[in-house]
Amino acid sequence: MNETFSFKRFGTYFKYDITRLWRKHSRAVILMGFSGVILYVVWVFFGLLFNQTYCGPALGARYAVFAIVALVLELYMTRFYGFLTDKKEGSDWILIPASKAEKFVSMLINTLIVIPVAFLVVSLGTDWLICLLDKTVGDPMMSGVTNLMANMQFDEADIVLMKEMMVSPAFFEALTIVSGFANYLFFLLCGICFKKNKIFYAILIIFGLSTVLSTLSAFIIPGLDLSNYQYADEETLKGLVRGIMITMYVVTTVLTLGLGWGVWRRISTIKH
Amino acid sequence: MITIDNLAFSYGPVSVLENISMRIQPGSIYGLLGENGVGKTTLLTLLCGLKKPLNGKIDIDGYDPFDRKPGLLEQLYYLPDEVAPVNASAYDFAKETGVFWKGFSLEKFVQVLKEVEVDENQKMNAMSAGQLKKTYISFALACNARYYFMDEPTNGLDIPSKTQFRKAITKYTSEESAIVISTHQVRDLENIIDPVIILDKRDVLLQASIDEISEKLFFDYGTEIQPGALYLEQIPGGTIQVYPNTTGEESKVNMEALFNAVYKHKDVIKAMFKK
Repeated sequence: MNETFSFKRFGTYFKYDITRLWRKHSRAVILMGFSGVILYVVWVFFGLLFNQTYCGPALGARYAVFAIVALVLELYMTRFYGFLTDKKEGSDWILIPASKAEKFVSMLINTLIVIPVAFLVVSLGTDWLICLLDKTVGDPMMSGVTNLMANMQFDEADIVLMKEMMVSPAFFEALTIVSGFANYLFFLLCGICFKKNKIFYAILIIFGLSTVLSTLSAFIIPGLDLSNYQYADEETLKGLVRGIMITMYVVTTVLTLGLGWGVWRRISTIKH
Repeated sequence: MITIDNLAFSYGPVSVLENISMRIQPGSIYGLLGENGVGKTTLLTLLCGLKKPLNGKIDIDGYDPFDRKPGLLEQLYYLPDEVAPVNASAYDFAKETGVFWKGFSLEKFVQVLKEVEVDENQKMNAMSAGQLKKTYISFALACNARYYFMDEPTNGLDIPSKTQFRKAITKYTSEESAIVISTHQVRDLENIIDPVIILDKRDVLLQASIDEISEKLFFDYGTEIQPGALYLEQIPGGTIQVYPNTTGEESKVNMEALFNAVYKHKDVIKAMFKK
C-alpha cells in the first residue's frame, strides 16, 4: 500500500471533501455569487420607489459590490476548514483513512481553485445574465475582465522593456495569481490554527504585521538616498525597477510557500 | 497487536499518564476502567493517533499511530464520547465516509441501524444524542476494523439500547478484532468485557482476564462478613465482599466491587496479579 500518496485514494478523498464543502458551504458561496442579483433587485426597487424610473446598477456599482464580496469570501476562507480545530469534527477528519498529503492537496485545490472559481462563475454568470436581460445596466463585468486581460497582452516594445527589467509578462500574471493564493492561504491557515474568533485574529495579525512593517520602513526608507534617482539615467531607473520587481517576486513566492508550509505543518501535527 | 511501552503524557504541567506499559491482543473486548482524570480518554486518543506521546512508544502492527498512515487508519475506529452531528442522512453519511475503510459494508450498517431502531434516512443533525450515538456505533461496526477504541459508548443510551449495544458488539465484531472500551458504566458492560484493565495515573493496576480474576479473587455475595476482605459493601439483602481466593472456588466477578478493591489495595492486588 502506498502510504504517502495514492491517486485512487486521493480521488475518493477529494470527492468526499468536495461533497462535505458543498453540503456545508454551498449556500454561502452561492449567496455571495448572487450578490450582484441582490444589488440589482435592491437598486431597481429603490429606483422605482424614489425616482419612479426603472434603472439597474451601473458597472461601477456592480464592480464595487463584487470587490467587497470578494473580500468577504477571503475572510470566509477561515471557515471552510475551520472545523479542524473542533474536537469532534477535527478528530473525525484526522482519522479518515487517507494520507496527510492527500488531505493537504485536496484542501489546496478546494481553497485555491474550486471555491474562488465557483464564486467567479456564479458572480460573473449572473451579472452577464442581468446585462443580457436588462440593457439599462450597461456592459457586463466580464467585459471589464476581458478588457483587463486584453490590456495585459503587452505589445512588442513593452515586452522588450520588461525583459530588460527581468520581468516576463507571464511572470507578471503569475505574480498576480500567486499573491491571490497567498491571501487565501493566509486566511485558511488562520482558520485551522485559531479555535475561536478566526476572522478577528486574522485581521488582528494583518494589523500587527502592517504596524511592524510600517515601523521598519520608517527606519529603512530615510536611510535610502532616493535623491540619487532624481536625475538618474534610464539604465539606473531600470535597475531600480528590476530591484523592486525581484524583491516582490522573492517576497511573494517565499510568503506563499511559507504559508503553504504552515498549512501542511498544522494539518500534520494537529492534535485533539 | 498493540504494544505500549513506558507511555507518558501530560497536559502542560499536569501529568496524566506516566510509565504505562501493556499489550493488547486481537480477539478480546478490553474494559478500560479508572477513576475520573486518570487518563482513559487520553490513552484512547493516544492509541488512535489523535495525540502524540510525551514519552514512550505505542506500536500497532508496526505502525506509530501518530504518523496517521492510511494503512493503520483503515484498520482502526475510534468512537468518542461525544460525536459530531453531520448535516446528512445516516445512510448518506455511511455511504460517503465508509468507502475509506476496506472492510466497510453498507448492508451491515443498514442492518445494525435497523436493529438499534434508527431510521437510515433521518438527518443526523436532527437526531437525539442517543440516536446519533447509535448511528456512529452502527457505522463503527460496519467498518469491520481490526482495532476499536470506544470511549463511554453506552453514555446517552437508554436501557433497551444498552442491551442492543451489547448484542451488536458481540454479534458484529470479528474474532480478530481488539476492542478497547473505556467506561464508568461497568454494569452495562460487565458481561461482555474480558479482560479488564484498571488504570491509575502512574501505573496499570490490573490487567487480567475474568478467569484469572476469579481464580485469584473470590466475590462473596453472602451475609456473613469475612475477616480480611479486601472490599466490603453492604447491599440490600446481604453484602458483596472481595477477598483472596484461597479455596479455588469460582465466583461471579462483580466489576464495581473489583474496581473498588483494586483502588483500595493497589499494592496487594498488583502483587497478586504480577506475572
